[in-house]
Amino acid sequence: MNLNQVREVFNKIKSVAQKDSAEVELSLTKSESFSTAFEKGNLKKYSSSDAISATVRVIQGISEGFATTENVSEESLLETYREALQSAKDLAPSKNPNEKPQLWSKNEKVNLPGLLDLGYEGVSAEQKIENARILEKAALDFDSRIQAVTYSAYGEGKSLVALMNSTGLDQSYESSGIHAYTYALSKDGEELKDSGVAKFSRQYKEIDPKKIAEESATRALSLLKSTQPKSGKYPVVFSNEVMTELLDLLMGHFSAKSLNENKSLLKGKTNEKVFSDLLTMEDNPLLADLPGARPFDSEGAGSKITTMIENGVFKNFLTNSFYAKKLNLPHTANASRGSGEMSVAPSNTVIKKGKDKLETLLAAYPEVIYITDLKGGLHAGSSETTQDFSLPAAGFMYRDGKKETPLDQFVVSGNLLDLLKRVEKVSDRLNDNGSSTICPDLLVKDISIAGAN
Amino acid sequence: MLIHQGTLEKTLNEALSTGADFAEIFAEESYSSVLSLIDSKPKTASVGRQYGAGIRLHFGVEEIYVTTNDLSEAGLLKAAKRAAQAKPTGSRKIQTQNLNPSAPDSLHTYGELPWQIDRDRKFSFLKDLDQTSRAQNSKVTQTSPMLIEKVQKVLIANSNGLLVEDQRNNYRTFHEVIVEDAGARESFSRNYFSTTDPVFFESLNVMDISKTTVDSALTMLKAPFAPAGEMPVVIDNGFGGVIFHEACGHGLETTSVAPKTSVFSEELGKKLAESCVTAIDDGTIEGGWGSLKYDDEGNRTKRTVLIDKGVLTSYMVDELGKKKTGYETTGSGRRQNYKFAPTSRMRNTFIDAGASSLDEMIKDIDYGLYAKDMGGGSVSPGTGDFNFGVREAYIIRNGKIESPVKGANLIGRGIEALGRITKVGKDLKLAAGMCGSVSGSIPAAVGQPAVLVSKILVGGRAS
Repeated sequence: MNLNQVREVFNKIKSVAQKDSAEVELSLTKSESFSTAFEKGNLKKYSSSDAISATVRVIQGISEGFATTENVSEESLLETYREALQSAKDLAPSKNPNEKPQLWSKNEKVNLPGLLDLGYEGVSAEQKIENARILEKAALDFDSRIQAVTYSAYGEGKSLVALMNSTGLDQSYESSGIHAYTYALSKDGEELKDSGVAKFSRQYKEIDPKKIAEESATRALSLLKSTQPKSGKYPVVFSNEVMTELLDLLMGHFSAKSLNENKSLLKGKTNEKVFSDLLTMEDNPLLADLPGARPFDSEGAGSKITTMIENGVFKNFLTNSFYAKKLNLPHTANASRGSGEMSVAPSNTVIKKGKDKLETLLAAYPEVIYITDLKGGLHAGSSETTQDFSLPAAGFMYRDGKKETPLDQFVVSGNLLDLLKRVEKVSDRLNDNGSSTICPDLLVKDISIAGAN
Repeated sequence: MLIHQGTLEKTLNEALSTGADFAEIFAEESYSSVLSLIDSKPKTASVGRQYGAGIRLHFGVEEIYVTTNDLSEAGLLKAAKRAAQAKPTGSRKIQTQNLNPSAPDSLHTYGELPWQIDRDRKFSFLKDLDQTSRAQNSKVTQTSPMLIEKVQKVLIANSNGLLVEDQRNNYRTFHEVIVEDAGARESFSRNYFSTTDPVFFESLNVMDISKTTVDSALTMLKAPFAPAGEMPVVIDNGFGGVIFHEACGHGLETTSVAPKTSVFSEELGKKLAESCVTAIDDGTIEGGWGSLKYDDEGNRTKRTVLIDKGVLTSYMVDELGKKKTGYETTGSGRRQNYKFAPTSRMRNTFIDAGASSLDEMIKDIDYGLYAKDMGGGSVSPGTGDFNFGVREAYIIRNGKIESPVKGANLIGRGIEALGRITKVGKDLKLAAGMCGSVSGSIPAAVGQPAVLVSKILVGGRAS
């Protein structure tokens, strides 16, 4: 079904909704993606996916309901409308009459050149398979101590997002992206180490499989011959990539939805100094090169930049139109389709870089631990509620600014809010690993390290 | 049948046209629903329907996977052609054998289905959970009870003549409470499940769930941070089994064993643990959270003894893993949905009951940690490095469980940690979880009796 056919079905749904005294919105996502990977020199995987999904949102009176389907036939979409309407009816008794949700009515798509770049379509399938082969082979060939590549893949895809509602809003955008990654496993004697590199770009020419593979191998090799640090408190430099992972733990607290549910630790702290003076952070959906870029949010509001932290002062929660109105906050156009509701989510998060070189951070104290890898997921050692974290990590010991031994088998612990309050130096180096969070390296002292007794 | 048998045969033959030696269709129609409360009021009541198919081809050990949402004959043939064209230069080697339908599932019963149950009954349970939890203590400032329902109907057909239809029901309630006191905040959650009865929640003890969840949150609210360093740890039963799941389970899947990216790749037949350790992955437990009659490749699931009295006896093997390693399949091919090609995955994985009591494990420890309730975990199969969070923990001192501590995290290496299990309790218990890996997020149970690990690194706060 193409977009015009979807519009025709939507008009029929709109007529039915009118009879039900309801307003309706349809959000459609259509995507095509391809990925391929090698394992021990053989093609391991070649995947190609065509996917479509439609979410119907119905507002009846003071209540709203959502339903989603991957079957976009007329019959299925009408059934999905009925399911969303039923949800709105079932939830109506619990709704506050003064909090009526509203559809966004203005077509205000922001122009984002570069969001769609189909340069990859002119590249042969053979070359893309070759890219995947290099992502494995170049790491294995790099050094005899690279024992295996645990994961590697080349992938590309494009998607169409269309939004239409009964106020007459009808807008859409297309985007594309290419990703590539290699995670290499190094071995020396009985010692095994793994590390990896991932890249995302809108432009095919920006992806260099050999460089990704070799960088991955270099990282895995650099961690060999590691020692376990002694337990204690150390000055720590968190690499920019590590910080992007850690920041995930905090992002929910910037959501006006969390504030409304009394879950945000930033409640009542607007315009207060909560973080280090050195930190300025914004939500920026207009950076087309990053994966979180989009011309409008999930309810159709035009994308804009929002300052979240300015020189350590907490400035803004992220909002959609409903929570902005309810909580009397600035509307930041961060609507995101959650499970059964119009939720709130960041787009691209950017912490501004500082002036110091990484080397300056690493030489700031006689003994500094440089953490370059967090092992395992945040879910296995952190609490979003409290911001406490306790995570296994890997990195290097620096003495008087000089790299000494790699470090492994230790746990870094702390509280992320506290950590961001105590940042002493910010580097001039931002990560470039395909994340929608961009961050410099940060130096913080008195960080708890659990290692050897 | 979701797709007519004639269409299945045509599609499989189209997919085989360029010389694949195996073709498979995995088609799916699923219903999912989430109901939740916030601020003591119904917040969401959403419905989602998944609909699509994945077509998989094998050229030796090379795998092609193509997905589509178009289940019409034309749509499936187009997808099959797309898959075949991934290797455009070959010519047909085989035809699909006559499809032979298998008997439907009997592991899960299909009485009432979730969409046939009035939502008022469900919200009534969630409200009861909310009110009972808030009544436990005035420090409870928020609750987030939730009911998650999924019914997945699948059809699996392959060029060897296999044709299986199956239905999987997964019903879960998740309950989180937040407590606050003097500016400090803590949360705690529990979840309960059924694979058979959509109104299972009506037989749960709401008072007991509320009391234990709030008690745990309040205990952790007051607790100081766990100490840092290596020490003996007693991990209690139930979700404590996540240690085996992470430390060993993932490394025993042929997904990582076949390319030798698992530390267990060369260990079959070796004694890796004390004789008190027997570990099993069982897909056949009636009503088990990770149970399936057929796996996602259409094979019957099995009870697979992974470690027998300390000796590694089996890996978990899917069809591709069988081709790569030569080991027989264990009915372990699993995937989240049609968007993922299957890989070898765990089902209900547990350390079997032993002979010790919890008291016997505690009494000989001068200083250590009692991990009463575990959180999520993760592992790097290549190095065997694992970590998992402990949600509720206590210091053991002079043979007695003493005071609570928070923020403990256990890290180590799979084989090493396995070898350090020195006592296994009698009280085996399974617990439900969701396991994420290359073929998506799937329901998987973990379990164990209480076990004593003689030494493990506890990542608490260093002083």
